[in-house]
Amino acid sequence: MKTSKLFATVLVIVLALCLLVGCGSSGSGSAAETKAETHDKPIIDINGGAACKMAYIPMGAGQEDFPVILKGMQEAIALYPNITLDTYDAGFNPSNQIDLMNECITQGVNVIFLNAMDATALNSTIAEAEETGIVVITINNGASGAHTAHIQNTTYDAGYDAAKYIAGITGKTGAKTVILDVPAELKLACLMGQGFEDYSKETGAFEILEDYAQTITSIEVGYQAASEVLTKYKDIDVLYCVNDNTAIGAAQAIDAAGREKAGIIIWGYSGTPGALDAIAQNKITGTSYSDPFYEGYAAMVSAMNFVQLGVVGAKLGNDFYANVMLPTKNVTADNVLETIRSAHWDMSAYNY
Amino acid sequence: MKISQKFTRKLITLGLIVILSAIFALSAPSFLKLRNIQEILRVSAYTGIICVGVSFVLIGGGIDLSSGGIICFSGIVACRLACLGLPWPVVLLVAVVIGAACGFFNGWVITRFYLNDFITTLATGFVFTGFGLLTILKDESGTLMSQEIKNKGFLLLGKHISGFYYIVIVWVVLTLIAWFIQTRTRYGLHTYAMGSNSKSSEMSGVNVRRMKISTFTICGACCAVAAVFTVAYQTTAYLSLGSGMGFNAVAACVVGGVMLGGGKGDAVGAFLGAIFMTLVNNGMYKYGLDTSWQYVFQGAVILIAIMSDAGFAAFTARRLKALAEKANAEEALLEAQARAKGGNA
Repeated sequence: MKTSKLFATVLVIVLALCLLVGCGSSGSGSAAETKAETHDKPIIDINGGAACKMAYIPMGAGQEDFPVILKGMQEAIALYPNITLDTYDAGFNPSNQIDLMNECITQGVNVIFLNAMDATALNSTIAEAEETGIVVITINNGASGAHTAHIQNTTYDAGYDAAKYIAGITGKTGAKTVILDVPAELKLACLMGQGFEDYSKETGAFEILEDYAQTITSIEVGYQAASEVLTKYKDIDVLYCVNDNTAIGAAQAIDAAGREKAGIIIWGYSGTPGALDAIAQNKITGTSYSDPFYEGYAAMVSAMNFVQLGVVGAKLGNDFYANVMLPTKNVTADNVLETIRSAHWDMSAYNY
Repeated sequence: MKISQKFTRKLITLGLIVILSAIFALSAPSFLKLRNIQEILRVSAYTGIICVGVSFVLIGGGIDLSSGGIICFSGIVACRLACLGLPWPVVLLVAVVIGAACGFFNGWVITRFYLNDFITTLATGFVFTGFGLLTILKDESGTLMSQEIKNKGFLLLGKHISGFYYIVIVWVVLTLIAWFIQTRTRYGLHTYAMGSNSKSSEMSGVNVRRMKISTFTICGACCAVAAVFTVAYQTTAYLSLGSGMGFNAVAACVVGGVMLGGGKGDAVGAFLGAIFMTLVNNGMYKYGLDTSWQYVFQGAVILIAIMSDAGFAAFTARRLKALAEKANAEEALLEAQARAKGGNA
């Protein structure tokens, strides 16, 4: 019995070592080959009909704007049957995203779109992908390492513009404001609160009572957070929420607390179907609206250009990447219906 | 050749690995790429090192769900220390001490206050993640900062030498050491005894309390080792580091034949279980399965593996019972014959 067990163990280890030795010889070789490769000609001649494989790794399939971004990407390649686009679900886990990036490199895709969960953790895999000639484009949540392009809706400007707009509504200085902000770990990437605060510092339009970092951004958590600040502060003029779900939760909390909603301005960010509906129903004041469809479309068009031009960020130098910022617009009851009509969100659950 | 039950259990897992590999290799061309195999082993090593520690706890009749929290805390500490430019042996040592201390705390709380392992480690997992949050780098306004490690000596731990990721080598070595301890030492024997029947082993002189604390301590130390190598590979640590790993490691161990109730299985089984779990994930990525189906498939495969394990255990029990009955019947027959002979005489 002992001999057979020992034999099995040795067999497993020998097998594992054999695999590793094999990997070793090919691993270093392929890296050297690909590093030497130049991209002066197209990585893939898309216009010439050559097959091109692309992958999109969002933070998770549950990411609210994921289907709309995907729709934008798909529309951009509608006339290119030679381009295939696969999506992967990282389950909101950076480790999974790294594994999926590695998977895409192994499969030999030509382009990877990524909503990075962590700005640093994916750097080495992104660098490896770019070294092998894969175009890496980050959407909304970027990575600090060099890669080909980054596409996102403005966050800082959105906060700044919203503050300017709200200051126009309140028409006074020192309006008592609570910012219901993103979780602390996302603050670096989501600068709406920062933009709002900077406008406030410049003009004195607001008195920021608290910058409340939520644990996650959801209707439930927004409700709890707003309930807490409503208990804490008797006079609140503005609840600036950096997320639409938070804004919806905040509106519900004001209702539940029996507070006079007309006196409190609630502002969101994103322009999700729920928020657009809430604005139309006068439940929240407004939102910084962006259509993720255009992010997807812009990301895909950029990718096709880079692939066709044979350009990846790694070739252009470590400091370079194209940084595309798409603007947001302030949506209130005045323009919500026209926004709903042009939105690419699925509004079928609402009667418009 | 007679094959022991333990060996057969490993053969089943190995067979499943071979079958799955064959299916994936035939249906997905990129599966057999050497880079893919290298990746499978790297990812398996991460789960596998945790499994080495978890196998001690499970064999001893316990369960540890705080692995994720320990990985998070020790990983963040390792990241902070590596960013200070400390040499990797110091970083590794401090992280392992922290991991072991977390494990020790688990064991101490459970044995001192007679608490349930499941709930206790679930709770301490939150505590350790909280410690991670306290330790992680923040700016003046409390915003969590993503800290990139540039300590070249430390980052070497995440690299590979001729394709051998260091984490894989460490995994193999730790598995061998754990297997030796579990099957060839008095400590191992006591762990199995404790897992099979805690009260009987205590009555036989085994210090169950101390044994239990030690298994949790080993588990914590293993989690820290996995965390350090993962942080070195990812060049940073973040708050969700290790999330879900507690359940994953337990599932991998169970798939590898380590019994949830305790007293059965070993580190080699956990080794195979870790490979199996990674293989399932890797194969699903290749098929480009819809997320919902990925979860269904992943759960179903684990369920089938556990059911086959239970089926095999039931079959073995029936066989043993039948053999015992046969032996009893033969004995009774011989006795009757002897009596008959005596009567005749």
